[in-house]
Amino acid sequence: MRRHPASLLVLAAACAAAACETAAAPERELAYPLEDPQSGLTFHWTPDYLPVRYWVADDAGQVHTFVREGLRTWAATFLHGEFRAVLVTNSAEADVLVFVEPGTPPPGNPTDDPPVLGACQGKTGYDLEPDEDRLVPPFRVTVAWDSRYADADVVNCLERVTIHEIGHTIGLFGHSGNELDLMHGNPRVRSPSPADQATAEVLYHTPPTITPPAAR
Amino acid sequence: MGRSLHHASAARPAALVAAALACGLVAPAARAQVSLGLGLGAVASSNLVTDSIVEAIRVRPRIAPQLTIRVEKPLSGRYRLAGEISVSHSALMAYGDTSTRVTGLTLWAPVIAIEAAATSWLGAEARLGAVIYKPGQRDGTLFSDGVPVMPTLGLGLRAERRVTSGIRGSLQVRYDLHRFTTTRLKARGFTGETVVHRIALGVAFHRSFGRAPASR
Repeated sequence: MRRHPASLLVLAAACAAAACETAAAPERELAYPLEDPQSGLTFHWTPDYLPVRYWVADDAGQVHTFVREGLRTWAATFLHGEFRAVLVTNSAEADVLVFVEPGTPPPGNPTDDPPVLGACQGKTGYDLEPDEDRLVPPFRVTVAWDSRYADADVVNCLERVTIHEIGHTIGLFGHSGNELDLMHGNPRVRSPSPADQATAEVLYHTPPTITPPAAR
Repeated sequence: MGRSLHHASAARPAALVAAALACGLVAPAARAQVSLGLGLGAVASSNLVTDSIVEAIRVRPRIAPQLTIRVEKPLSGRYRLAGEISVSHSALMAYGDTSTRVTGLTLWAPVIAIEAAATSWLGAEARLGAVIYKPGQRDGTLFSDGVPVMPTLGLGLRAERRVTSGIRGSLQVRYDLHRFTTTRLKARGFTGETVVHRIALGVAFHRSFGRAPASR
């Protein structure tokens, strides 16, 4: 302990000088188009509009859980806080409304089995201001199920389709051609694939053609 | 440099501080003077993440106010042993074409230091410790799969003068570096770790207790 502390300082300075490393980021590429196939418009929520507020109809049953799961899984896609959402109980305050037709679906937990085509379907709609450069909330999501199918098939289908429609409400208007992507037209998987994640990240760093209202 | 540890429990900072204080209080010259200090300052950090999604993105905390509590004990000759803990809080920002607040970020930094007096009023120290990241929001951020605890290595300089018979005031500058990554970054394909440099400036006041040592 009686030696001069310069040796310690030199050692630490050498460590600092050698320490200029930066973690290498992966490449993100678009896996499918960002645009609405009908209007050609692109959209994403802006930082000043977060968290986006979702409301789910009282008679949605299990779909309430699927919306919550969808919001969590899509938010987890991002690294830099680009998207956040909350569930609200007042539909008048919501940016996104979720309805279920024809009412409360059968109970049950979804499985990894591929969903049966036709057991349910989803639809997401939105309105624009007359000059078509701003969204007029809310988005309206409707998931409809068919009582002629087995309960387990309906539940499996509703989970995938609900999370898929949540993907549309964050701005992923296009569909993937890869059935392993959640944004495939007939979604089979339960969560966003790496291609879905990369496409969502690219979307949120690309200037949109329509934006949310200027202020809440 | 050490490896990162993840999923730190809340008790870890307290345990590290307790260990640091124990080192200072149970040293051989146990009856010598011990001082307790309180410091205020600001800390700046280099980038935690450098990303590229359409645009270059740099993620780092804003310059943060920092509070430090420090216990010191004289060793033989010109040396002091110190244990301290600092806490700072600011916004974690993503800087690209625009700057976006990702979340609030609190950093705890327990440190053990050995200080050597260069002159009667100037001291230099070598610092070994840890930095513990506590984000306000984890979902949708690079911390969504856990928060890191990283070992740090650093240096410090302190200019000090006696304010009253039992109180010393000081100006101090500290530098440290640590490696940074998170479980989420690795899961999303980031490779390697970023070396993060931090520099802190501050003022502190120390109150001495016990019998003054002969050497300083």
